[in-house]
Amino acid sequence: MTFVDYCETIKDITFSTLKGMGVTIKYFWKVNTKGAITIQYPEQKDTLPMGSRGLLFNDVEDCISCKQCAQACPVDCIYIEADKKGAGAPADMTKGGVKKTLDLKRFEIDISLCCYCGLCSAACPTDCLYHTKEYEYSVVDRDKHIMDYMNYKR
Amino acid sequence: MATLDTEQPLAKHQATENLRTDELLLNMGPQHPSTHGVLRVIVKTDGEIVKAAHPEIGYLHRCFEKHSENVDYMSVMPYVDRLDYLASMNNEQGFAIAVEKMLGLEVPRRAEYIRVIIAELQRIASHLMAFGTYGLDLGAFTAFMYGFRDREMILDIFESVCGARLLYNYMWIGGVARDITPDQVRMIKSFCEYFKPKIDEYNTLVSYNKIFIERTRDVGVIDLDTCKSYGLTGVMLRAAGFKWDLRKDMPYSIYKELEFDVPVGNGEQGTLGDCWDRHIVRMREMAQSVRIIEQLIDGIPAGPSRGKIGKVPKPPAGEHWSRTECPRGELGFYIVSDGSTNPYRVKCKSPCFMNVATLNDLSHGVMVSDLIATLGSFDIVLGEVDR
Repeated sequence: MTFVDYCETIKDITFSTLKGMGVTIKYFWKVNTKGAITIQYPEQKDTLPMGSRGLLFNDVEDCISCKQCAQACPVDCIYIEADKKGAGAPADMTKGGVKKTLDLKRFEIDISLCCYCGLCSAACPTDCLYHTKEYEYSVVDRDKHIMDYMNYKR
Repeated sequence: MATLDTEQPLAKHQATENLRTDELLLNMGPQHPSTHGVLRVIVKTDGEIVKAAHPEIGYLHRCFEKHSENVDYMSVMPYVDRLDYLASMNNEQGFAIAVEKMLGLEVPRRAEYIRVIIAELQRIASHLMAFGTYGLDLGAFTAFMYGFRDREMILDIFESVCGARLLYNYMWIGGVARDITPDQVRMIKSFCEYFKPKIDEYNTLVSYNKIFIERTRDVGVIDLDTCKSYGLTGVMLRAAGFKWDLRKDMPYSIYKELEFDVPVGNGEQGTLGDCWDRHIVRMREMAQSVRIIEQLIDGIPAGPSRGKIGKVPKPPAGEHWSRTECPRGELGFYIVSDGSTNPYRVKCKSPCFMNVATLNDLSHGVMVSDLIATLGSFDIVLGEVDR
């Protein structure tokens, strides 16, 4: 590398860097005039779009215990137990007018295993199992991540 | 920068001839930020010069292929997401196409349009990530911020389209999980308008910066013969000057009807197939992806977004091999079916595995900092290397 080449390189470096700095300064100006766009998370919250896949929720009143969700689940984190209804039991209908033939005894989802793929809620025939927009449910004890929807309180 | 002689790297320096230096075995990774995940590279160095670099993979192995044998075809999709977690949509498209061909299923045109639009958006997002982290590897933090700002907009679009930001499970067998709304079409349109001038801005900021050029030109040169012997595909192959893009040469989906160019490296700044070529091919591919989206976005045909398919797809017994063009290269799926609901065997051929294999060949006699520049330009994702 000759001395002239060396000087040429330094010149190139200076000018191309200044050009890049120009881009940065343009944005620096914009940010300082238009205000910050960072959301101060615990105080402010972003609005999630429709259909965001958060924590699962099952409305057990509407559930017909068909176990299609448990079958669709790729990680097998949905646990369902159901008995046949007794002969004299009163007819039970869901809100959508589907007759319940089984008596749901247990509906639990291990949220720590759930991968939020949405296959279970898509398989649900009565649309009682769906994703809520909730995303704040950290716990200290791992057992508390098994959501029992039969007596669900949050 | 200049590649020294492999056998005697120090022979040129007369002053150091009598000074004996010991070889040092250096562990780069598995938690090193420049390895893009958990890759461990055992580097044998002689002073500042690398004698050999041996990549150790397997830290992210999750038994994807074995898992797939135990779940039905629909449930494989969430696992496919986790292969290349920066380009999940492209992976899903590849797997969906493979299973659809086995089923002999015709996908509705609306679904094909949506799929291509979403896959090209994902390609832009993936290349933005590559551009950002490559800057980070070379010590330019600014590029990272710019790349992530625009990637965030694409992720917002994805979140509204399918409800998740990273692992989508959106392209199902037979179509897409949810239809696209006019509102989302408007979002994608405004993103394209916004993004087009940004590519030139990034080139000013990074690609044509002399310091960046000096760091990347003539470094990590992969010629066409090396590409062929390692089976490299995608950007790595195109940067070596070979025009091969599955979207153009073996078109799947509706790519046949689209107009776009395949950018190849031409050794503008240094040798053909160096790191700078790989970088600029990515930047130019982003412009082509925007071009593809703009051709499609105005004419999405009406109709169903998912074809008629049973709840549990059951392909007939047989085997099928299909490959698609992902941001990192050709992703292939070889599926064997025995006629039941679960696949008998799923083999995934990932492009990153080949890319990372070339590292040892390129490492003889280069400086340590050039090794990082070379590894960064591969744009590997370890989730796909290890599967």
